Amino acid sequence: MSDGKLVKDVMLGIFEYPHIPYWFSVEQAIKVVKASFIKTEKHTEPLAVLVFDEKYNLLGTVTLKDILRGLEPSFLKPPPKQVPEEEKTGLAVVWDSLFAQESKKLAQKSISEIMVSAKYFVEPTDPVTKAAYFMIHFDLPLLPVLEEKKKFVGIVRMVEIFDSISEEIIKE
Amino acid sequence: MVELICRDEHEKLYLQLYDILKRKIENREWTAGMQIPTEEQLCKMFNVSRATVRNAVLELVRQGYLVRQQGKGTFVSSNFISEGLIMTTVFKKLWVEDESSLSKEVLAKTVMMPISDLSKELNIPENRHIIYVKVLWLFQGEPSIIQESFIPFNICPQLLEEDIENQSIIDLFEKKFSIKTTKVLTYFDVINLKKETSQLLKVSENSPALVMLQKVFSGDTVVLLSKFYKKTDTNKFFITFQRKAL
Repeated sequence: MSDGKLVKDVMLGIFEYPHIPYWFSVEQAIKVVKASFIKTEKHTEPLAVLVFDEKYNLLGTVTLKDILRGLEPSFLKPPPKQVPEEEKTGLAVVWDSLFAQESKKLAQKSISEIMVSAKYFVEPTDPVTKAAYFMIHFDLPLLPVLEEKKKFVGIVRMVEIFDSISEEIIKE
Repeated sequence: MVELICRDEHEKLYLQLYDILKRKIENREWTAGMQIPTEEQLCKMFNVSRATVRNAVLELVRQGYLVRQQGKGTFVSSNFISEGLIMTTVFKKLWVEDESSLSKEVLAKTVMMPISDLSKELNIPENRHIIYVKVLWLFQGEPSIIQESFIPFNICPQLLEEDIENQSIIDLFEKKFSIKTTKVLTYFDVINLKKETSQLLKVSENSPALVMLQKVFSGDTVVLLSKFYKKTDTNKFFITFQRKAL
């Protein structure tokens, strides 16, 4: 990248996102999501909740998709390698059975069981291209920014990464 | 009838005058909203110096019996509740009988969102961050009290960086961040301990515990909400009230 944009130029503050500790249940996380995103007009995409430990270290993130995936038992099983054609068409008859009684029980488990662990980070002084690489390669909805590999200072989103990189590409 | 100040008593003159004037208000001789005599008139009435009158009146203003209105005079407070004794206490970080044998272990200091009744208790929207602190108090080395504290993040974001192992949150508010505590509401209840808290206190699940909830205000703002879960042991919750030493 010739313009040399850095992560710190495009990152968002961490308080744009709701925080929860890892011992919250999935149900409590759902209530946080509703109160922070769904009931309020202003919210920051992608919709995600940050999960912390008792010393305020970031452990992971939970998106709406992660929550729904965690609530449906069939999603928790490892996916079959190939779905036979007849099962694809036959799925329509089981829609009602998805997110049924079992999901209520699953909502009581700890959020740490369904969160996506924060494994990849960037530093504020890293180039946005590095963030882009991580987000694309590991299919991350957002990427935490750590200062000196320790202090959690920001969040990088695809929209700013896209804007920054595409700007450079379409420049004449 | 004018009560007289007894000059033979050792009690300071202004304290005697304070008592006399207070009785006038409590007996409704001076009624709510009424303007009291001027300093000069009070000096003549009781044959005391201006300083004595001033001190007595000042104390009555401080205690909420009287209100001063700039340029108009001093009036009997209209919202003064005369039931009960006016007493004072010293606010301690922990209301127990024996503080000397207590030690503290910070179990958590992190940030969360206000779930359940917390947003209502703290009077903040549900989408505002709060600082959460959990402390285990040990009495003579044994787990005794679990303290959970909730602070609206915007009240004191710097608290996250502070050492709360060796300082209380209220001390930090008062001494470092100029957040003055003006009122503390305290509620007591008895509950059966849930699994996690009972394990920390080393008692069996569902054991009874005394819960003390403290809502700390600075003006109209709730700056701190603390919940104390205390198991039964020899160190009791303890509060002293006494007539204010004037």
